[in-house]
Amino acid sequence: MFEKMLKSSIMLMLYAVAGTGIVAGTYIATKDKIADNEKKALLKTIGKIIDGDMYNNDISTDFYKVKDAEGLGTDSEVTIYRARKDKSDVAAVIKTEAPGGYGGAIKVLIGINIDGTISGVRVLSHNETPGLGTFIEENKSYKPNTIWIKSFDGKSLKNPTPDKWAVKKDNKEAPFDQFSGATITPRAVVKSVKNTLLYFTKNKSKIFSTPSDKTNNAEAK
Amino acid sequence: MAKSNYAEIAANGLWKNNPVLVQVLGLCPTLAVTASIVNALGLSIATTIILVISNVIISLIRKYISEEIRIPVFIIVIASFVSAVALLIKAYVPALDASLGIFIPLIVTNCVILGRAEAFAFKNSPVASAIDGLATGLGFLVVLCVLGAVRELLGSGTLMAGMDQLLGSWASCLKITVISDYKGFLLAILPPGAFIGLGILLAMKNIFDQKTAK
Repeated sequence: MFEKMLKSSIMLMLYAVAGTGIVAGTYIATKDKIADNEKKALLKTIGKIIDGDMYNNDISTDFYKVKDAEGLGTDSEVTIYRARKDKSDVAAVIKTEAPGGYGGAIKVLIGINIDGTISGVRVLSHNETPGLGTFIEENKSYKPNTIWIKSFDGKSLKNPTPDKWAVKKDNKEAPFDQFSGATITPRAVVKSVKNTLLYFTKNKSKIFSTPSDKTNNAEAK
Repeated sequence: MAKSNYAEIAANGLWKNNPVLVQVLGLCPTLAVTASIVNALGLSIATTIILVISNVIISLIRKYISEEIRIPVFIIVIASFVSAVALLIKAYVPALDASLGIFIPLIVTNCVILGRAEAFAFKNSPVASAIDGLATGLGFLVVLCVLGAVRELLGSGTLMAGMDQLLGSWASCLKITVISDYKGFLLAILPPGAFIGLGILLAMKNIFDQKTAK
């Protein structure tokens, strides 16, 4: 009896070691490729909101992370990428979360030019109701020929003024539409973009002077 | 084993003992990813690959697994290969990884795979097990794609949208807009649509079986 149990346990252990070996082997073989894919995906998204000609630094390694930053309105970790051309600062790309979506936090990437205008906003991931809140995606249009997420392009805290950073339902003079059946989703995104703009204006010099996260760079490689 | 036996194994997996329609197994992925054809196809291809690998491996090592520890061994084999395939998908088909997200690691918990390991691979030769895995996987694939097609058509008025995520950029031309300027039928895309659609498929299979039995 005891001998049989021992034999079974040893066998099970050997199978577990072999299984772990397979996973570890695949991990080692694919990890560079996966890191490369993640970098490419990030650069592709950044490329949609900031023109590639505008900067020439390696934006995927020129970043730092902040947590609980005052004014950003999220307790999640926020990543700030810096776009520079020949050492002069061009724009910041901020990966943040808009809390208060209908299905939890909405992850957004916000590009802000050095002069404080929005160069573009993209939703990275969300959990909103399909067909209602999903119009915040860039490949869905809620009315003909209009992409909602592009309505941020070129906006700044001067246009519209901060009190008008809202959806039309909350402020008649606001420039941002809501969708029929879904106001919570666009409201959350507008608020997050506004907060990020305020944060950017207030901390501009800090954003561009903070050294890059060395540890994370090593990890990314 | 005779050729006719292999044909029977294949017929069993594909139709007579279809994992979804007859055994009603693996419903979590069936219901979760069938909002569009591309997701249904992607997950069922991954599941089929895992089924074949796990069936063959378990059949090969079946003589070295004692009765008492067979279930944990099955789980180890399945979990290891699912993790490996998930990493490979992340590395070589990143778009699919983005759209299927957490469902790929969850293949581990798909009871179809454990079910085939226990009911078939543990007792049969590697060749027969491979055929069983392939047939069961294809049976799973067909049902998921039919359900995906119905839900995509009713929900968004298209067929095979986003196929480029799976097959590369040339495949975006496979998209068929059946109803242009379609407003969308939300119920079909949301989870209740999956339950209703699957219920109708199950009913149709039963009606067909009763008709042919007469």
